[in-house]
Amino acid sequence: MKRFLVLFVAIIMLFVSGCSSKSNNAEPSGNSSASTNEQASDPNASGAEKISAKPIEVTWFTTANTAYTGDEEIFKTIQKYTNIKIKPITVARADYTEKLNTMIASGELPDLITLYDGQKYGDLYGPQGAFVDLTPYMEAGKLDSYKAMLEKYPPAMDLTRSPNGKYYGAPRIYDVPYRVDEGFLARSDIFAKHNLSMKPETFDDLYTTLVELKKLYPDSYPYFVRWGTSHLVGNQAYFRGTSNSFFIDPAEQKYTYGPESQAYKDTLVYLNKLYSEGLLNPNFATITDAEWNELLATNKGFVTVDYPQAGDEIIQQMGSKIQQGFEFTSMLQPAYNNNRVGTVVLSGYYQSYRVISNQSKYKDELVNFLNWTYSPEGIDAMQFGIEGESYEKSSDGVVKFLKNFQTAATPNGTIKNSGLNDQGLFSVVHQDAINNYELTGAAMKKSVAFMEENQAFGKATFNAKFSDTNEKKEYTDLKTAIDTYVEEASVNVIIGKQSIDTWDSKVIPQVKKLGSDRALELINKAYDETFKK
Amino acid sequence: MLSVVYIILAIVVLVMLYPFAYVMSVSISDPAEVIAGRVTFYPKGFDLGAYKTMIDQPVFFSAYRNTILYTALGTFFTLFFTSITAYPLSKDKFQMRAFISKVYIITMFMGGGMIPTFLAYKSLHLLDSIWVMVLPGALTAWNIILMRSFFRNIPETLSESAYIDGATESQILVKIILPLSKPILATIGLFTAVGIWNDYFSALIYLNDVEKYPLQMILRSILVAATVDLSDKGAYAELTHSATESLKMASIAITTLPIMCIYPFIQKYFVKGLMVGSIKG
Repeated sequence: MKRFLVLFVAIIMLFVSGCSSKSNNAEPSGNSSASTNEQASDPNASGAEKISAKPIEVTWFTTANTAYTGDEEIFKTIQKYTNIKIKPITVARADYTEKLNTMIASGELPDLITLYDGQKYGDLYGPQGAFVDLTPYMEAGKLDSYKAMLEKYPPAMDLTRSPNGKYYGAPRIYDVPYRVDEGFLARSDIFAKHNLSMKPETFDDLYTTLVELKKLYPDSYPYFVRWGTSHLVGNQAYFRGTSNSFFIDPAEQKYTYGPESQAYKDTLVYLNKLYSEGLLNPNFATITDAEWNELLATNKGFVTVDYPQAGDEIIQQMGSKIQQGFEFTSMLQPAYNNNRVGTVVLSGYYQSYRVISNQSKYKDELVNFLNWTYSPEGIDAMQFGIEGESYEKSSDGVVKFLKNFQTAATPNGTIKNSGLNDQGLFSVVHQDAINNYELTGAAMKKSVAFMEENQAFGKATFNAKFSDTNEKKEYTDLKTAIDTYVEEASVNVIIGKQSIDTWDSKVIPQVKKLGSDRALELINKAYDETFKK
Repeated sequence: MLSVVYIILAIVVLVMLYPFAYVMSVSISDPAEVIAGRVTFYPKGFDLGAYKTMIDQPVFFSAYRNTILYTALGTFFTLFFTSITAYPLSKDKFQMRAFISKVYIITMFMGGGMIPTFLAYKSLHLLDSIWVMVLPGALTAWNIILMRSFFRNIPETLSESAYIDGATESQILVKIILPLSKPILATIGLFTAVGIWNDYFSALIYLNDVEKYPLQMILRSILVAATVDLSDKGAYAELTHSATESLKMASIAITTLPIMCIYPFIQKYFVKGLMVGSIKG
């Protein structure tokens, strides 16, 4: 009985102390920070060019593979340059949307928020008052670096502006003419060994090459693509100047529907030929990353469409066990009807935002902070850390790290998870960052050099955005139904279950029935509103 | 006949154990062998790099400590509150018994929903504290019913004789009833412990401070790849580099083994406890 009582009392005390210590802590800090705020806003108002006159502490919600504690290099850097101490709130990328939705629904927003789906969330919750409206700050000249950067890359301004005409987010900007994205990749060592060309002129040349490879490696499926059917078909269609869905036709400057085109039918016929002759991996719909790596490492797949980074990643993962001479680098995309479609690239606007919560006590300081991340000093700091302490930069832009960071070039560095060059945190990627982080692996360097030499890069394209949420929903619903149906029909053609002759007589009429004309009308209206205002 | 049973059981055991053996094998194998698909049962090569990567995470040890703390505290609170609630409800002489039971049962069928629950915790100042991980689940109608049924199966004469000898109700609960209820305590305790050990969702929604994250949050960041709408141009840039198979398996091994080790020790109660519902006295 006594023991029981003692236990009970102990628990009650635990409770009381737990609660009281919390409220005790909360109050003075709340008071003090409020007073700091008042003092801080004075020098700001008088025009002092400081990011934050007083040291302040703010929370920042973002994602990280390895959770940030707030002591990482990037947060030390931000504090040193801006007087702002960041308390990161990080979750895994997979859990991000759930947490964000809870935060928004409950009205418990951190000071700074990284919005991966920035356009959607910014346009939806900004006008509802969740995020700070940046427009007055921009008009007052407090966002000069931000504005200059966005204006440098049209249509960044148009895409950042919400349908109500206001700006809420600070989008990620690729401050480069092109950042490499997906393209054709091939096992260049095997190609060299058997005298195969990395520059096929046409898709027929590519086919001949695949046939050769199949002869040399009978248990392989030379063409292998991960991430599902849509990725396989979409890329093949892209390099024939069409798409597996609605897309902007650069010639006509409006959206058209890809699968109606002859080029799309040619895509399916081609893939069907590859499939029936054992040149295309028959598991194309379901290949996982692990299986894809295995196929690549064991000479069971040679040509794909993927990221050029993959060529270095596989070598890093395999270590010394990699085959002698293994090399997986860019291949020139074949031309279709004498037209070689440039690869997808990123340049300018990217719809991942940073926004400030309307509940934040430090709106002015954080607006200054966002602006700073677009300034030359801020861009370098977010990418490389503190100048003179974390890194040195020579006059020709070559960066030398002064600390032992773990990067792609120095995988054995002792400082892991520095937070530098984290796309959840920085606002701008510039050429120096790309040179020092991305263009470090041997395969990546070779791929990009090869692509540049052959002028294989395309131009950045931007999707239209809807100003009307109902129209957006209508379009999305139509598109989902159509895409699902067309993907199924496409697979049936590829695996030979359905003849291509039925495409025009059965599939396209069904697509029309599902409402493709209405969808086109909606997306083209949005396109005009976005780009031709 | 018996040998047939043994053969079937052996197959079942194999089916159950193979995934664990595979996880362990992959986690200690050379990553290159794993990528090449050469590891099927036995480990190939030997490499503890994946475990080192796990342990090197800055919050790994605090996360482990938190998980153990949440599990221990949460299990304790669950057993404590459930038993003191279930005991009066098992007594016929308690007049409000039926009414209070009904009130509890209503909560089994109706929840508040995620956002109202979040707001309730917020106004109780539970957010971002360890209490949000251990208190909300401490009292559930299901556990109360389980325990009440068990208490009711203990002959009333035992309590009555203790009462005649001068014991108070709390003495009867602690000295007579609870010692006789080890099976149900073990059952509910184990369910709760495993539940809290595996719980990532409460931590994801209610915690912000990395120092308070449990182990499952780290496990998820390694295991679960983000879903990205691949139809968008440039969406691939958003894909995070997926962890190697070895790292995934090592993280599974390191987070699930401890809780699995508890099973053998309370299994004897567990079997008895599971029959609670089937014995009607």
